[in-house]
Amino acid sequence: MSKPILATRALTKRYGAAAAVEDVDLCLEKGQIYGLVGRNGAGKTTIIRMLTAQTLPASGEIELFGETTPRGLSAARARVGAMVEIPSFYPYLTAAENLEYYRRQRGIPGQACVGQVLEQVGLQGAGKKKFKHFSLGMKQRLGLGLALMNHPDLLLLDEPINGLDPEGIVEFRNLLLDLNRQRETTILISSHILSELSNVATHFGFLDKGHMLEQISAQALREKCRACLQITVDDTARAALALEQRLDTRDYEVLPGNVLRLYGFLDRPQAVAAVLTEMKVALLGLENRSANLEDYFLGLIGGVRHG
Amino acid sequence: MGKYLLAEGYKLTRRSYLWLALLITGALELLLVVLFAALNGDVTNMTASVGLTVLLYLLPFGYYATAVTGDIVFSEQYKHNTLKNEVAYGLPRLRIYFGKLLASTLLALAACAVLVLWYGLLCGVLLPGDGAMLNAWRTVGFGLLTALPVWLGAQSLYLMCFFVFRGSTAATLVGTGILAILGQALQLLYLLVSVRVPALGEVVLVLQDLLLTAPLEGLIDDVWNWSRMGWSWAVGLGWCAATTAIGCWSFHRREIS
Repeated sequence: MSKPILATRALTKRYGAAAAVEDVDLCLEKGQIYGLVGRNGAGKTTIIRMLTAQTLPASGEIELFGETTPRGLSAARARVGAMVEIPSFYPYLTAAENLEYYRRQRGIPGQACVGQVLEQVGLQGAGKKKFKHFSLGMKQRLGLGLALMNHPDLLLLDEPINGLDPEGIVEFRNLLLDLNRQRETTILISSHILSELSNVATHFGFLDKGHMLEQISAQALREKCRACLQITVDDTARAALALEQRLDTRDYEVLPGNVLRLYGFLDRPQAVAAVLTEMKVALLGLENRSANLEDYFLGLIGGVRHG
Repeated sequence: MGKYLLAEGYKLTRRSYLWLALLITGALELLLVVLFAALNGDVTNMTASVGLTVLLYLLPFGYYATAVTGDIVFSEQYKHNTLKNEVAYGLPRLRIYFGKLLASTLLALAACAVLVLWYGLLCGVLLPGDGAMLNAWRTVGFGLLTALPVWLGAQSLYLMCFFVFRGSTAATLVGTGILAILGQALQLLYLLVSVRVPALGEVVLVLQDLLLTAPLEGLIDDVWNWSRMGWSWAVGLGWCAATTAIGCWSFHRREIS
């Protein structure tokens, strides 16, 4: 296992008595695209705000490029590009002027990089238009431009596709994938648009009420979300024997609650039912199941909540 | 810090607020000197050197002008949520604070230099000469050296308010309140307590001497006074240190949204 680019240990943030984030352990290795999944108020933005020094943790540790001290973290943050919530800039400056201001402030060499970044995010035509007259989509693009200007090794993006039109979302996705492939940029991206996350993320972290429920690779998640026949029986041992002997398959798993998942025979549920009945297994339920990221997340947090 | 100041300079020169403030103040100076020239006649005889020394009466305005320079530099960062663009990239908060303080101080000094030179030029051109301009410049220069430290204190006070309060209006009101009302309040307190508790009255008098506005009171009658200048520097630097310490402490743990 390589050294993590970003890690948090027992990261906690409290507002009064309430914990917005509690004991969160995160780990991102070089080249990963990490999707932070959670509903509104789960603590995604708070985590990113702590990573970007906008708010101080109540306890816990942040490690960034191997640095954990305040001074070391400050230096390490120069290698980070961040876009947190709605991008904010000086309203009386144009896109180029805003970027030039931050370029000078951070000592990024070469004035040409401002034009390059504007082109990269599709704002080359913004011209003399002041930031205060930008649409939300333009603001998002400029925010991304700022995040990319220092050629970051790590990108922290909080709900970055909010306000983008469909074409912008595709461009944005391709841009992220290019950065990840060509520069091995590690990316942490939070979003509640799970379908979009599932298109880019190589790893996922599921948050609920400030707690990290699970961290999982996209590959492992795909495995877990494979289509299957979910069978509920009275005796899983006998049912397993039936599947192995009569259907000649071992591609199944036994879950708690007398449930089996059979990965195969999806188009022949009657045959499966017949075999189980033959073996004197009481069939209590049989259903076709396939899960996507959204189903998986809802399953983790215990389903959709109403009210 | 050099990069931070260069960036601030880049931003400031693109704000119409700065140029508008300079233009309005310069126009008011022109109006004043034109008024002096127009009133010159049998009754009044405002020469160039006398006109120039009128600047000494205007020194207290410098306190309140630092509210404008502080506002121009701080640029309503809380309202526009732009501070996150600075802290997220590892700029230490102390550097941000001192960067803003230094930028606003340099801006105030530059604006002061421009406005004083413009006023001097107006007096030299529009008012009759009397051969005493050099002496007048010396006197004004000495007065400015006395005023600079307390202006620096005022600049630090306003900047602290901009960092502590979320809105620039509230920050300006509090800063102005401290400058303008604290002296009156202490005066009232002195009147209330000095008769019954003379020792407390003495304490109030000492406190009055420590106010930022105190060193410039009566300056016009007593310009060439080195002890006043020393007093002014001590008070100005003291306020600068105290308000900067409070501002940095407050900003250090502040939630940036």
